Amino acid sequence: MHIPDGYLVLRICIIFYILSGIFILIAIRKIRLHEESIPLYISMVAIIFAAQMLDWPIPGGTTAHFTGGALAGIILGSWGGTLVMTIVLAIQAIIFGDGGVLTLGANIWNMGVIAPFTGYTLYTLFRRYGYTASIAGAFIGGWLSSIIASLFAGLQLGLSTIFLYPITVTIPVMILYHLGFGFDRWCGLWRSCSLHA
Amino acid sequence: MMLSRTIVWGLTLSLVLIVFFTPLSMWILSKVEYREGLEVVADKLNLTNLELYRAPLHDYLIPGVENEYLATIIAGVIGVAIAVAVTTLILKLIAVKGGGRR
Repeated sequence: MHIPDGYLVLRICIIFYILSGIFILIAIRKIRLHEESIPLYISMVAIIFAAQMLDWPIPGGTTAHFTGGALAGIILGSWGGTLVMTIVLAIQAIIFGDGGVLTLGANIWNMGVIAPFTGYTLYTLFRRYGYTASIAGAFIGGWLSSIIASLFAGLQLGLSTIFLYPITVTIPVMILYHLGFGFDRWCGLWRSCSLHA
Repeated sequence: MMLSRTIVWGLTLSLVLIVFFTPLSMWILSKVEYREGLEVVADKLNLTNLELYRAPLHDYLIPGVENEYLATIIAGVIGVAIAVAVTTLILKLIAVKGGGRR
């Protein structure tokens, strides 16, 4: 879901750079760093970066890839998730050209702010109902975060082509291909593994 | 902290993902007809890529490494290394600034 340069107009790029920038700054301030949590951050950034390199074909002729936003949010909290995803996405764009540099703000918003927040919120919502519920929450959070992230991507693309195509075309297109997989649901598996580790 | 169990597990898992599962997924993709989801969208909306910035290891390829699979693995390892380094640095900076240490 890494939007390349040229797909979004400058105005949209700037807006989302500002939005993401605000959240990143808040994240830096709000992160609670215990001695024990630092290894978790390092571990997560490695896993998420690696997991993002996988790409699988899915029915429908397109591909699915794991972004890890929801996972990051669930394991590290929303703010920690934003920080880690920002680092991953920035490295991907700058070193590997995965996603544009002008569109980095928008990509960070979708996968680094929306996804972790959604994942964390759903997970926390379900967690109060017990262990099984928390697993369900992780899966649902992962799936939903993918949908909402796509919604924003669709919005960004739609607003960029607003004189050419209506948003009623772009958003459904983006959502439809994410509805099928929501690979972030697999973060639920990791959650249960980490509980036993 | 350096050799904490969490970090060892994380790095091991990331290595397995890069060295085994990534090439596997690449191989599977090479066997099927597919289009990236974003490509499909770009088609429908007539979007074109703008080559604004040339990344040093563009597309996870390593200059001089012919084999695509090997290049991707190396790129993955480099990426993880940079990510870990940057994260460590940023966390240390946050900690030094007294960012919510409890």
